[in-house]
Amino acid sequence: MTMSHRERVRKALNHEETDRVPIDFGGGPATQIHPTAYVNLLEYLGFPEENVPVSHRGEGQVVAPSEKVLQHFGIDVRGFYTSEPDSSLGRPIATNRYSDEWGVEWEKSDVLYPYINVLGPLQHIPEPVASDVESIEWPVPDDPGRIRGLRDKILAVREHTDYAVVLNLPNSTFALAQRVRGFVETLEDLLLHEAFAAALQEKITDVICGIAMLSLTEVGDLIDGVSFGDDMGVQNQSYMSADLYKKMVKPHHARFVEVLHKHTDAKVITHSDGSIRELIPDFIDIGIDVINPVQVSATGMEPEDLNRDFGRDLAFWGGIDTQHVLPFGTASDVAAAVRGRRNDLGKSGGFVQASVHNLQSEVPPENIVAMFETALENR
Amino acid sequence: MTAFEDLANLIISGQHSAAAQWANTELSNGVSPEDIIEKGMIPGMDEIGRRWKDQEIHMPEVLIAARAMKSCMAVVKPLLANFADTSRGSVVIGTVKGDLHDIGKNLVVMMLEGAGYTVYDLGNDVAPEAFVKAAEENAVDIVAMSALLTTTVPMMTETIEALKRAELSEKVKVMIGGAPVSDELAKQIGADGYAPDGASAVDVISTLMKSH
Repeated sequence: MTMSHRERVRKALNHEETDRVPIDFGGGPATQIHPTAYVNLLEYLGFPEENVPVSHRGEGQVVAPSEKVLQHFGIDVRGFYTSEPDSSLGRPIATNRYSDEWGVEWEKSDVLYPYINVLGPLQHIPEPVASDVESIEWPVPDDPGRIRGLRDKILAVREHTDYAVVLNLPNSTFALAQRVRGFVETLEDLLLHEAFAAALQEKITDVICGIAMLSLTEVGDLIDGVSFGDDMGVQNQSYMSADLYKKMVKPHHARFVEVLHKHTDAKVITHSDGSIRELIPDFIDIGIDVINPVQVSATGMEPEDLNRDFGRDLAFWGGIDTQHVLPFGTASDVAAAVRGRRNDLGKSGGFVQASVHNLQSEVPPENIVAMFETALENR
Repeated sequence: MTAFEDLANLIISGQHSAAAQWANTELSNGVSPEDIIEKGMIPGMDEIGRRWKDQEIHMPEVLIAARAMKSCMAVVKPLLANFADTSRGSVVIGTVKGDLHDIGKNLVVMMLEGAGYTVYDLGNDVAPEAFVKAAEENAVDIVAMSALLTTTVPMMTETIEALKRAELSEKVKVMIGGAPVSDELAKQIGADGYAPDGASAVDVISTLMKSH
């Protein structure tokens, strides 16, 4: 029996069997597509040229695919975001350089490039202490600009379509700490400046909990998933050991996830690139329901093992390799990967298929089509 | 008798102030800066490299050890008669043109410096010509390239071609690294070595230096 898009996603996230594996394209900041690959895809599909609005969200040049493309592939998910606050502290600093509401400075080095964060407001302090977090201004969480129009947009999808809806919240504690304090500095602080590292994450978690409460009070009853991103892995290991995570970061993640569950019945999805196997038991422990993007090419992220060890407690969202198969494989390699993930990650439900990260410019349209068309096969 | 292992242990445990203090004290006791580097600092960072490669430690432990090594180096370097004499070799390194990802490359730089190499770090978005220029000017032994984006991998081939055109391919060895890169790709594009991660990069470069 054919299921509705929403029913398919909800059942899969509840670890129940579905008619086919649900699929996502563009429902979150890391399942989108580079403008070049998108234009190639449109041409391949014979779709008339679209006005392609390029977004720099997610630190990359990406396009959210149009409704026409999503419908063509039978995509089951629609994604939504909070908006910029009215009272943002963000301001332009120079040509191609601005600071955001966290005081983080972003710079665009070349016309072709996205903006990249280059300096955080607490990055300059050599030996920081806890009180240093009070030395800068912090964003106002309950700014009405963040949710203006959000309920109407989601309601329209809920009332007129049967797609599953995901609300994508801004980045979470550790990623923001790394922007405010610096990537390397934040990792060093976990061992060298514990009190400061705790105070900084506490402060950031206060702000993002406020943003989450505001957003979920507004739309928590309408959504099927609420997603937040906090990268915790590199290619071959987690950012930190499970012991250090438990001691220094987990309490903040736990507080945030508790707020999410308190304000919506939707599943909690967390996005972390890289090898995160060491931390997954702790993610489950704090109430995370789904992980994205399941970077299967990273160390310890073999899909069969992940499903065997964690599949009862955790659902998977992603799984189609973007480091080898999608850019460099053939369409039949992609089809084989899709069938493979259906049988390992998707065995007995618990899987929404998506590319492991945004599709890069060289991904051939044939491979993108193979990824979605193979997914439409029945189980 | 100077207990160099004390310094190695201070570096391993990432105690940067204590490591610098140790170096200052021992220099005033007449210990040579060369000995401090070779018998204390390098063994400490070698041990960090081993533990990282075996996944016994993660980035935070590596980073604070590298910071301790740098604090110590800041004390001893001005006293070296000729810094190049203590160097195991020289490396030009950068993330290739079109790619802004430099975390992995920065970790490789730290590990190489900790292992006693002289490193010229060109940063990210480095054009083939910039690699060539830096390799020529500094007469380096190794050119090391990093990429994260699958899109920028062809830039490694272009850089190798540019080194050939500048007649440098006989003089330098080329190493590549980064998530989309493999040993197979290294062979295919004519690179001399490939390292899957920061800890292995030191081993690969030391092998390349032996054949250099």
